Amino acid sequence: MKTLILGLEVDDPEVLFNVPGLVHLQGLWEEGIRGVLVSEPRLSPDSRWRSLLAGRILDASEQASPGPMIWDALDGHGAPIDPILVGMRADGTFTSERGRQGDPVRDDGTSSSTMEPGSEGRAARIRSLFRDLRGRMASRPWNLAMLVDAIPAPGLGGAHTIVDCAVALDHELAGTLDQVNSDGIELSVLMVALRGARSDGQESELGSRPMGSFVLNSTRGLPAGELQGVGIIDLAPMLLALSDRSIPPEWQGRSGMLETLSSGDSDDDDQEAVLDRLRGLGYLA
Amino acid sequence: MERRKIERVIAVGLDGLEPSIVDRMLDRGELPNLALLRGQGGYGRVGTTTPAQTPVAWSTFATGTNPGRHGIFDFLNRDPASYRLELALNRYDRSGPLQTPRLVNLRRGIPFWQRLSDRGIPSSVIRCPCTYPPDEIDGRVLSGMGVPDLRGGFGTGTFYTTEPSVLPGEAEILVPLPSAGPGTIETSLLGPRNPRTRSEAQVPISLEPIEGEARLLLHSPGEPGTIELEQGRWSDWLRVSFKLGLLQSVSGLVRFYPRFIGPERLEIYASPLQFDPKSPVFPISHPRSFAADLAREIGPFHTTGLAEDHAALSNDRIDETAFLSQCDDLWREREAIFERELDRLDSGFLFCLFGIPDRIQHLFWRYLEPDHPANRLGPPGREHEGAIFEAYRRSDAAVGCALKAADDRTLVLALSDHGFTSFRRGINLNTWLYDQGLLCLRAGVRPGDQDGMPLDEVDWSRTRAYSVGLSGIYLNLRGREGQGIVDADEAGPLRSEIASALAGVADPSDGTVAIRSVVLRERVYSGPFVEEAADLLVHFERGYRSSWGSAMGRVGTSVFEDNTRIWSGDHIVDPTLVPGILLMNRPFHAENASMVDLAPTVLDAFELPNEQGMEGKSLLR
Repeated sequence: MKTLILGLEVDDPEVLFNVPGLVHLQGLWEEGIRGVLVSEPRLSPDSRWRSLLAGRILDASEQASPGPMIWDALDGHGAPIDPILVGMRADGTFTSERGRQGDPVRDDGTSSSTMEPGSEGRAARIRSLFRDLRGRMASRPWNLAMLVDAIPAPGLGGAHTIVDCAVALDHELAGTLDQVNSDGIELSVLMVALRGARSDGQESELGSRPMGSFVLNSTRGLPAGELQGVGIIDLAPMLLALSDRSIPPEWQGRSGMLETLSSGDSDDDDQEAVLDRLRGLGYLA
Repeated sequence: MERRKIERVIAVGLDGLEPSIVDRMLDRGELPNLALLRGQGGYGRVGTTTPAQTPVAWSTFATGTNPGRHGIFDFLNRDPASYRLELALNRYDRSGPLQTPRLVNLRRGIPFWQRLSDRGIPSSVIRCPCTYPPDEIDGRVLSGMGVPDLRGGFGTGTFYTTEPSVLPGEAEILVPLPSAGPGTIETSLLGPRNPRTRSEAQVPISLEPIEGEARLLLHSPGEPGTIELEQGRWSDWLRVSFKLGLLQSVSGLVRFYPRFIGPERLEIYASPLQFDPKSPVFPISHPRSFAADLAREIGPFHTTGLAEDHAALSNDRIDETAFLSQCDDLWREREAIFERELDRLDSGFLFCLFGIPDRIQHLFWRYLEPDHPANRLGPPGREHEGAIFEAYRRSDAAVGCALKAADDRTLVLALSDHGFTSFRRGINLNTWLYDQGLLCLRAGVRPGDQDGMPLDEVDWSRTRAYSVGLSGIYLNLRGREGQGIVDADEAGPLRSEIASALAGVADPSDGTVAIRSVVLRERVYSGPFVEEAADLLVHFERGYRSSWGSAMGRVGTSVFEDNTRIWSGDHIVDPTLVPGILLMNRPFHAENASMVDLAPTVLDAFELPNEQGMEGKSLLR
């Protein structure tokens, strides 16, 4: 099971999945396990992505040794496979925290505070990051690939910035899934939209508002539905559960809420399917 | 008997070959290879299982045990808690929403090819029933009966028609066509249900009639992109991929049979969607690459466990010529696989099942009996009156392939799992139970009224016994059944009461004793899974069988009914009436041979002891 994480910082996470006509983003949303991420006042904006990957709440003092990260846990007892990390912010955290050599973090020297304004430049950046992601996925073995970017709020970029970026995102998502699906692999896809990046480069005021939204899909055919009470540190445990990997004891997040989802099959559907199969035997009518 | 070291064993499974027909054809010199085998070793009857059903008998063949030890008692079972019907061959378990569905073979016990594998002797097992998922052994396995089609059925075809009055047949999807042209007609192939949305995955197809000809072109995103369809001929295979969401897709194979192509009318049958052997959604072979290797070498092939398209023939979507043409394709596929495996058999065991004789006899038995109720609307034509005998000749040819590959260190066996007989009259066991006051329906419901799910209209608070499956009767036992009312201390006397009353029941039409006996399950079964069996087993006379509805748990209007379906032959009668055949190229003890003896016989051929748990005896000693 491979894992693809797509992370976005947007002013209004819910808008991202509701832009009309974007079939892939909407499909991801409708077919997946989805929900609103509960607020976590203990997390600073800078530590959210790292906490997601660490399965526990990290504060500034733990930057040097955050404990086992998701790529460590995904490796299980096998040989380590370096994650593919694309478009992370240029704060150097991932390279220093992985604890082993891997692909250098790619962010083209930009950070959320220096991202180029304007919808055209932003959409172009999304396309560029996805091209980079696909290229890396095609060129070497991987268990975990992650792409993170920020879409600034309307303002400097104009009123249609989010829509234009979402269109680019939808297109690139389709191409990425086509590439991965054509390989016939088992795959989990987690898309996380965190409330955050403003057009002026400043983080949104989080307060007690939901941290963002997430949607989780898998080639295993998870039952679609809304999951409540999920925190950002629960996402990595869910991905591990999908990959049949153990959750490190140091982690605070848990995957147990997934077990509450129904398979969606009704008894009558099941029985009609059984009758249909039996009729096909020929002996019964 | 003289014993020579055996290095290879080849077993040819010929499903449903009836001894009396084999005898006649041997006498006429029409089965030269079986005659050769008889001359080299011997020929006899082999006792079948209770009941005489394909999955039951071949599971006993595989494990060397009675059904009480392998757990396959019938095609179907019921969940005692809910009374819902269940498929008894395999199931898909999902331990949680995050887990991939796990395919479970409900045949328990240990097949002897596993025992051979444990001792370093490889096997190649081709299409044995109840090998889905395939046994993971040293060698190769191609799964047989139990493999579903891509929609999850055992053979659900699709019928496209411009005729608005046509209704869907059994095990069939009906797709109306807006017109027969001119111009391209847009429609779609219907694939599996999306497990999340319950909607059917679809692949668009375009039908482009060729003016003035009974042909058309079918365009699709599949492979190849365009295939030609000709009236009255099966098309080539089309490989299509169904998307079940952003991340999931499944690949399948389909063929088309245009029944009519004209400017005013268009009727096209699409076969059940087969698992694509190159990328099956669940494993159908071991190793997993084996099915793909076969597809590369012999081309696309049928993968469903019951590949003969009997429902299409019964529904009158294809005619007998088309059905036999498909059977011919199946013969060639199976022969190609068998010969491939024969070529690779340096040592070890090879089994290949040819199931086509069983299917052809089910559907063409009426040709042997002009007065069969299935011929009531008119006698069958003469064109296919020899179809059954041709299936026997082709079975003989398969044995010939085995003999050709054999040397003096090869043991060759040919066997059928059961014989065959007529199915002229159906017996509605539930109606008999209703008449006896043992089964009660809800207030206001009468026999024959039920339109809902089977057994839904039964008043369980007053019902003491019910029938599900092709020969079984269950007590409504308190503590076992969800709404059981029969106490444990009542069960014994009640079973005896039912058995004595039902045995000897005569057909009112002519006085024939239609039920020869009714036996308690512990009389015929032993082992850890006996509790899963029906409490009573009904042994029918030749010509009788559980009626169509009763087998599914329904209560018909009368105990006896004519069987007017073209499914006119069957074998689920008193097992002593329908033994199979057994031939070997070495002398063997044919007297009292039984399916349970074959596994010890093969082990003995390799000089391995009869394993603990196997019940039979080697026929070579």
